[in-house]
Amino acid sequence: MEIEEINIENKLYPMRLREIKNPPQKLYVIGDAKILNNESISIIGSRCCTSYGAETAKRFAKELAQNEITIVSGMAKGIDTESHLGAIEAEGKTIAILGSGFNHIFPSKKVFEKILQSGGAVITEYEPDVEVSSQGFRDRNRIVAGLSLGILVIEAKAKSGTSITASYAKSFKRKIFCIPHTIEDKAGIGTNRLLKNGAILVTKPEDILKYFNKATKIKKMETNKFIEIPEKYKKVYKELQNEPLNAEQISKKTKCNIIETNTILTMMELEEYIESLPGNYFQIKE
Amino acid sequence: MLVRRLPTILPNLSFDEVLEITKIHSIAGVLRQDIPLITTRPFRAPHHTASDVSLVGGGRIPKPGEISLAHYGVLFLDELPEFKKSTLEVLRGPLEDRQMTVSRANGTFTYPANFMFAASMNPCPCGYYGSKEKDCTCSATAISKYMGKISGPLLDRIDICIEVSPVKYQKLNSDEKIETSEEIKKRVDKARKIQLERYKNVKILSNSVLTPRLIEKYCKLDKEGKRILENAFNKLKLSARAYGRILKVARTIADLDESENIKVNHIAEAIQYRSIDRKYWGN
Repeated sequence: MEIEEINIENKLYPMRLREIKNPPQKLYVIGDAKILNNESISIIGSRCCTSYGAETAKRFAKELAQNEITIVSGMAKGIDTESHLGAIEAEGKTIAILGSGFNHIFPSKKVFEKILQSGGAVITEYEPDVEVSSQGFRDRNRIVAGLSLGILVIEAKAKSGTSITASYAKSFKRKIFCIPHTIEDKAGIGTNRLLKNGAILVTKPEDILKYFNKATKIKKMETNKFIEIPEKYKKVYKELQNEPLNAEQISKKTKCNIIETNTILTMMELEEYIESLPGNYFQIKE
Repeated sequence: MLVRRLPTILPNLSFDEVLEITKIHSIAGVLRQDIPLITTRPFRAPHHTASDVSLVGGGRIPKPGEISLAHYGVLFLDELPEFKKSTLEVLRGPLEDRQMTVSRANGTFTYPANFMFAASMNPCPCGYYGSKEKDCTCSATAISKYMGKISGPLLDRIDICIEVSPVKYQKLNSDEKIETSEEIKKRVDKARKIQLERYKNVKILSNSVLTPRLIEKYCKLDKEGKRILENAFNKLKLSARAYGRILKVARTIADLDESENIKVNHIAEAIQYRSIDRKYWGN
């Protein structure tokens, strides 16, 4: 694992980052430094995310990456990790920015290694021995905002680090994209506030691509799965198409007793038609 | 509340079991004078401040601990992650061997500890992780630290894990028909009888004590069942221990269903009780 040091004068140093108010004088990079100047979008959101947020982050990251947009994020748990993994799944490029030195990779070495294996890059402005600190994460957010063309905010509670990144993005004149949440949703208070203050509402990845005048080349990978569902699973699958439900609700809706419903749910989970969520909820697997 | 009802559905004690339980309680010095013979299954629920020694037994002349006092009954640990980690780990041996050997300077004593282990816990310190009603306020680190209190090996020895959703008010005073303890006990007794009949030649009482060789003999699966179990094994990354335990649970579910063979739905139900592990303790 070789650490490359890139000075602000170096031509590999990301152009866009050079324009911000207080750019890091030096970047430490592991992985492919050439992708730092790619067209990129930062995807950000809460660490403690909802399944809606996690899924949306992954899907957006996937489709943007398929369209040669590099996905930038902070490698934290939750939305950040989902975004990196989405890009990797689509065989696209992804860049993670750490808030600490390379000897203190946080929180997950696993994701770190996955990013590098996929040909992505991990960068930090800190020397290898700098430890994890909350100030480090706050300063890291300015790089997340500065490195890319725009940021996509998936989820933000009333008070969150995500809002810090968003305000950096605003001061750097980056585009801010947000996905909508219902107004009762606590996980969406921050994003809804951003929308109120003029962020661009997006409901599909194409919305972002269109904004940068990029033609979409969405590879249609999904086929209509309903046809492939075995007869015995159809009833349950149909109920789950609208929203995640728990076993009890499914049992009531399908008028099937709970034992039988549980059996079907287990089989469906094992055969990867559905997946289970904390709180005993089930949802359809992509 | 749910677990307190557990002894009410357990099968009746045999005479030998009664004697054995009474002996242990007598040695421990907890036998009450007005009840000279213990004829109901013990239910022990030590508080989470319990020490290792109080659980497994000890003293200058080692006395039986909670796990031995729960012999042929139920040991219930409420708020499992609040116990000291070392206290939880001492359970690993007894859960496997069904006995506990305590060695002290004055001697080595082996006490039986064939109990049913039951425990309850919240999904996170605040209790609302995954809830749709209220927001969880725990940090990701706090949750993983909390869950981390339960080690893989201990979790592996727990056959049935289920997630219960909070009960809504409407449900508390609804007249929806539910199965009573008496009705459940009848089913349990029936299943127990089937097992006693099946194992009369091999001198064991129930499915839970089947050895690997006996599992092979009595827990046969059909082709479809084998395929499902293999699938589950790969997907859920189960251990060899879990394999035998799933088969035993499936055998019991089949007995409750009064079915001679383990059918597909029995094995699927048994697997389901293992799938929560991965959801909460995965990665």
